[in-house]
Amino acid sequence: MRYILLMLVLSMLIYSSVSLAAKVSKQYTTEERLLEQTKLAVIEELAEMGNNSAYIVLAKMGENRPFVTPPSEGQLIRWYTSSAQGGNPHALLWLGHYFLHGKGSNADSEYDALVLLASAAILGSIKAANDLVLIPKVLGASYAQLEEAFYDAIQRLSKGQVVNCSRLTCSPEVSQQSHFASEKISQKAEIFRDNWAQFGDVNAYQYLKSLGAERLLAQSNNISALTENIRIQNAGKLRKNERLAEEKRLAESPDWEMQTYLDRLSGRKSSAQDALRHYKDQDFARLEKDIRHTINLINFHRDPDAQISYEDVLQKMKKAP
Amino acid sequence: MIIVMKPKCLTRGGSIRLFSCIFFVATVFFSASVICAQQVDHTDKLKAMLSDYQNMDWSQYTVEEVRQRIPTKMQGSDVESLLSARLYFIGSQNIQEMKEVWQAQGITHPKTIVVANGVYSVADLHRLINDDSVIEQVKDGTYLFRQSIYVAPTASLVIRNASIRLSIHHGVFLAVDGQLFVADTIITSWDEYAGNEGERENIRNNELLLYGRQTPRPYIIMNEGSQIYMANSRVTGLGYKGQRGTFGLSISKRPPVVTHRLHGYIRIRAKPTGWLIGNTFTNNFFGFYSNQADDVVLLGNVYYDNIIYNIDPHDYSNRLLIARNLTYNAQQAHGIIISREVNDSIIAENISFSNYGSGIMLDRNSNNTLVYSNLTIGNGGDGIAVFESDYNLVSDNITARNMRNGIYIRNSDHINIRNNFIFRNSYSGAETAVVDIDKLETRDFKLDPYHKSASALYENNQFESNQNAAMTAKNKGVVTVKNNQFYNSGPIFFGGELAPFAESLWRQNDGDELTTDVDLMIRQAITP
Repeated sequence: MRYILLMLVLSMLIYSSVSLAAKVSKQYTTEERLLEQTKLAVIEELAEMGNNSAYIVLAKMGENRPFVTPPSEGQLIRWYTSSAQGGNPHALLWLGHYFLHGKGSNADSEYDALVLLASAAILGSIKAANDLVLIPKVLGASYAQLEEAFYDAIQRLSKGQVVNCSRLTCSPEVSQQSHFASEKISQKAEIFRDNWAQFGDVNAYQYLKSLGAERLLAQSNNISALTENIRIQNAGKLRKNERLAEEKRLAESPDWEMQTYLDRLSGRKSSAQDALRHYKDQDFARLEKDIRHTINLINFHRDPDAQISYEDVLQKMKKAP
Repeated sequence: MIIVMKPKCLTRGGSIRLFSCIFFVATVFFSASVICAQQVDHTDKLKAMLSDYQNMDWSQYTVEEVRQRIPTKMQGSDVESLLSARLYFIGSQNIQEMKEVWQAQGITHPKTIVVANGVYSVADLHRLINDDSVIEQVKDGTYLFRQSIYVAPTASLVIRNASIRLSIHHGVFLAVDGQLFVADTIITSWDEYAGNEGERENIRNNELLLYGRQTPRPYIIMNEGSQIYMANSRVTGLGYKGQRGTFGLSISKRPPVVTHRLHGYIRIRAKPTGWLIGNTFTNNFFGFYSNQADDVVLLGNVYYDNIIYNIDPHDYSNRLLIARNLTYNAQQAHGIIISREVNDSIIAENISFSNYGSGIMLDRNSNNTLVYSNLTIGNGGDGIAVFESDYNLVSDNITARNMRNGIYIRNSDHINIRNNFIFRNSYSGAETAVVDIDKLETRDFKLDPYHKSASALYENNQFESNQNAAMTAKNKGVVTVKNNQFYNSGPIFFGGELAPFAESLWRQNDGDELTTDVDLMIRQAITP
């Protein structure tokens, strides 16, 4: 009998571990897997056909959604680079921060990262413009380097080149198909340069500060998420409050059982307080030595003008309860 | 007690059966050895902590030492007022919450003073901003801030011999990613109309911890990678119940995020830390709060009349030194509480009295804590409470005249309680209990799991004049007694589930061998 029991326990253990393992590996049903693969194939095909937006979709999907087979970091960089080649500011922002984080083969290339971020800002990314304002303050990059990177980015974009292919692995297909795109990019750079000139004689940092302020405010004024958060956060505590209110109601108009319980509680409390009052002086006289000793220890770490006195502490102690 | 059984299968044939039996026995022995090794590890750690504490060089932790650490050479000029909306990475929730104040005051484009690339005094900030509507020098050394301040990782802010007023109506807070040095200073919230630190809203007690109920007030938050050194200063009137670190003075780290924005750099920085020595904290929402802070030193401070807790290190903060503080009159809860995996910390030589809740509490899996030589007197709750926290040493404390138990162990195993003086508490001197808290609405049991067992070793303690009983156990709390002294306790010495075993407990306490069936029913705790 004992043997059967033992085997039963063992088989349950094995079964539970196997089913747990299965649960971990099984993220998709067959249909879901097929759907994911089809989506991926369609977007990849679009990317190969030269649709620049397809690369950013692939990259974003790869970063944020659990692919059937998640892409490697190298694959992500390839997708983002291809998208950046076509002038996508989001891809440039991603790549800029990626290299600024000190990752990849360009680990030390803070300057390259700043050029990528500046390119993103010039091509319309408010986030990149905002980050460039803050990077010298938060990460200590020099303002002079930022200025230089900005001029470099404008120059490069004016020629229709977004990415420095000697530093990043560019996609040849995108490079070949980019005539129309490069014209658009150089136009954007020209517009940016004109707007900057109209703004007056200010450096890149000062001009960046003026970009997109209204849009930043509008983005941060969205408070729907906050309201939802408040609701979720308070749910448990509100339930507790309801229970407390119910207890209070019962306490105000109790049945005999609750009344007996409450009487006992309050009786116990008042008799305890009576005892504490009765022995107060005696007890504190007994504890005096220890209280004085600990106050001396505390005072060792306090300024001579902020010392605590035993008499003061004792007076406060005697007030309670 | 280990039950040794001889499985019948060992006497029968069959290699599968034999293998199964060997496997089973090996598993039992392996588990037992792992548990034993763990206990030895915890015991050694606690002993080492106690020894280190007793041999500590206290001269390194004085107000003067902190003053010596403060930079004297100021340098830099990178201070400017930027739109608060730009600073998405310092806590979007913090900025969102403050909008309530900004909108009420008609501030449509709230700005923050960004301090970067240098070491600055408050006078420097005043000079560089050069706008009285942002920083006003009210009188010599007294500054009123009408915009929030952000100290970047590249900067240090020095506040010395000053009085800093943070405007309530302008929704001002101080967020620090760099270093903050404060000495001989007063930092307070400020109501410009009333000309004082500003009264708190009248909110019902049971709604104080509800999110979104209070209008935001000024606060100080130390973020990832930051350091604070504060001495001989007074912090008052700060904090409210917000989502993150808005409670007064908070040292807080958020979990890292995978993002290719500035969050990414900030969040992976080291856990924040600091020394707070010889300060006074009063009328703040919490006197002190931390989240994932390491090696913080709280020494020689006075905390009183703070709204919820006086000292509340929380969430995965480690190796804290909370010693030689005076905490009293926490208005709604405990004097000192560490909660949610605050491990390897020392709470020693503090006086915690007249708090609404307990004097000292270890809560939610706060393990390996040394609670040593504290005085917990006249608290509304227990003197020392250990809730859902294992492997702790409670030694050489005096816990007296508390309205509940002197020491209360709930759902916590391997608690060693020794050399304490447990005196005239209104319930029992010590209670060890298993309590089913499954229905507790405010607790997330995935985040804070617990076990329904409690065990404690009481050794060399003195129990005296406790009003209900010297010692009690409830719902299968396991108690081992050794060489304790009991005087003049309530109606009985051993109450609750211990009452039927009083005779055996006396004998166990005196070191006699337990032999009878009744003796053996006393469950043996595994001592740490």
